[in-house]
Amino acid sequence: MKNARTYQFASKPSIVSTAVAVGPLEKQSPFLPHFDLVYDDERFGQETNEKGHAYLIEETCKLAIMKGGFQTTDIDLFLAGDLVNQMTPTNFAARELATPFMGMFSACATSISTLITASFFLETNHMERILFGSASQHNAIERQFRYPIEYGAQKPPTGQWTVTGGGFGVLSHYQSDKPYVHSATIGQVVDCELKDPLDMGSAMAAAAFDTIQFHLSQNKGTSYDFVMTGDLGKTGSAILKELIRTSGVSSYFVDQYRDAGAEFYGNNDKLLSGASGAGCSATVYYGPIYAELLKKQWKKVLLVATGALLSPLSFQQGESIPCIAHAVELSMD
Amino acid sequence: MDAKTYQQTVDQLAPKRPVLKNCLTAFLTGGIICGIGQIISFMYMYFFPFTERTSSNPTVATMVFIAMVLTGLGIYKKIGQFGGAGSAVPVTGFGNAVVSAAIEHKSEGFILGVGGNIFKLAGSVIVYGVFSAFVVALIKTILVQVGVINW
Amino acid sequence: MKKLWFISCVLLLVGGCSERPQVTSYHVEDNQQELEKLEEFIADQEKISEGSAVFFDHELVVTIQVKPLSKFSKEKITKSFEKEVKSLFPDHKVFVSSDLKISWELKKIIEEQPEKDKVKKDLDKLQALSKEAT
Repeated sequence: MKNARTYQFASKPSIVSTAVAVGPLEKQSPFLPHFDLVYDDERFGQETNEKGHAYLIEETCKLAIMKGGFQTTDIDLFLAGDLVNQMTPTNFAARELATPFMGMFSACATSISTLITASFFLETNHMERILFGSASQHNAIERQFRYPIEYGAQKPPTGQWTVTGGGFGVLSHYQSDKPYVHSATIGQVVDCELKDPLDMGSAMAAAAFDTIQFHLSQNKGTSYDFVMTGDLGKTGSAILKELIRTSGVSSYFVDQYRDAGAEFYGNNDKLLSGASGAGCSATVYYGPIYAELLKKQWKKVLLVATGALLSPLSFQQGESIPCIAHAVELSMD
Repeated sequence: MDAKTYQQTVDQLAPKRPVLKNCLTAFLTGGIICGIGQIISFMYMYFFPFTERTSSNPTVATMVFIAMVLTGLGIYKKIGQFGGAGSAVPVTGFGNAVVSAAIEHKSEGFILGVGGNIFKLAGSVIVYGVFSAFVVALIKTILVQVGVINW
Repeated sequence: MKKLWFISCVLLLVGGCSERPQVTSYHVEDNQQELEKLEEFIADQEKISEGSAVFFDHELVVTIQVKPLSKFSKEKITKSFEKEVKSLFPDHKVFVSSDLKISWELKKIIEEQPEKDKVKKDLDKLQALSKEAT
């Protein structure tokens, strides 16, 4: 089927509860009032960054389950991922949660790719409640992809800051008072042969454009309160705007466009181009955006999460950065 | 969308590294670090029996020690973001590279973690420092043997 | 405040470029002829900003400071200087150093003007220090 990458969910799976936890630096975020847990310790009281990362995932998941009024035993499937090698933080958190579990990796787009997959599972009516989401922890991710934390390397203005935070939610069958997944577009890998790992916003903007363009072409005439990308940052979102403007996909869209990464830390120049990481889109989408949808402030939003599918090995070997973007259309009746 | 036109769009819109400003801050930072080094060197000469030649060793050790403390306190990465090459090229940058790797890998234990990774960043400095010294010495030896220059 | 800056800068510049090198010296046997000969010789050097010398029992210890812009060829200047001093005083055992520390120490000796035995001890110590490699 040619257009199978966009799908409209007939059963309208609803996000019944969410929870968001962040670290100390994220206190300066304008989204702070919507974060459920704010920790003063970036390791969350654990002895290593990776253990802290796992703890963050575990606690956020438990809170999301509790806020929905469930037990961990009510969860039929746990779908999540992070950016650390072999996703050990998520795997270890899944060990503690003891639910059926599948790990997913779409880099920073994991927040949306898990939601899309969860929606498909629910569409089969076989499952009742699925826990989904993603997280990142600054220190654990930076050491994985870049230099040691304390190394004094100069970052260019296109550099981004990995968020310490996680956003998780429980997806269940349709409930009229909760936001539901209207439709989704699965991204395809786009590679524009950019190679700078300190300018991933520029690389990911092409993937975001591809997915948004396709989704809009399949949903002609739909009006959105806004379209929001995950972590393109100030650089990437400027490029995406330009791509939209020159291609003429929807002139309407440009005014209604936001980027979670660019907004995440307010207008702090010290954090350069803005926030990034699997926790960036997850905390914003399942924190403030979800809350505003619940309050019916907005009715229809298109959430696009972008991911740079690189590894430290691949860019050292001179490979370009392939990128992906997944989109979900959330609605509120 | 082909890669070339996309690259052009990126080049237009992505903010550039402010090269001139970076050069100035690097000059300033590097100058201040070297100035501090000179003061320490004078101190070793004035208060201890070190000559101009022999004072360089304790001075380097002291500078690396200061860089180590600043790295541990999280100050050196801020200096690095401001000063760029100015803080990376002096010996303090070498100290920072070693110590930051050591701190980072302490969680994997002292043998496989700290020991195995401490020269992760600084290793290439050592390898190519030794190698280029060897090449230069080789060239000079040949030139002296041929009779072009003297020792 | 600005004026003060300007004046101090000018003073520094002028001070840094003062033409003739300053010479301090001390002769244990008090031979004025030898002293003057050496002082004049040092004063005529173009690339040297400072010189100190101590004569002692057919031994001559000289330290010099090379002008900042000539520091790149410091070793060469020191060597040729040493050669010339040796030819000026063929019956002396000449020791020349351009090291700052040695220069400071020699100036201390000149200031103190100690007796024979102490001078010998001090000068030996000085030469041993300058030979240290690490």
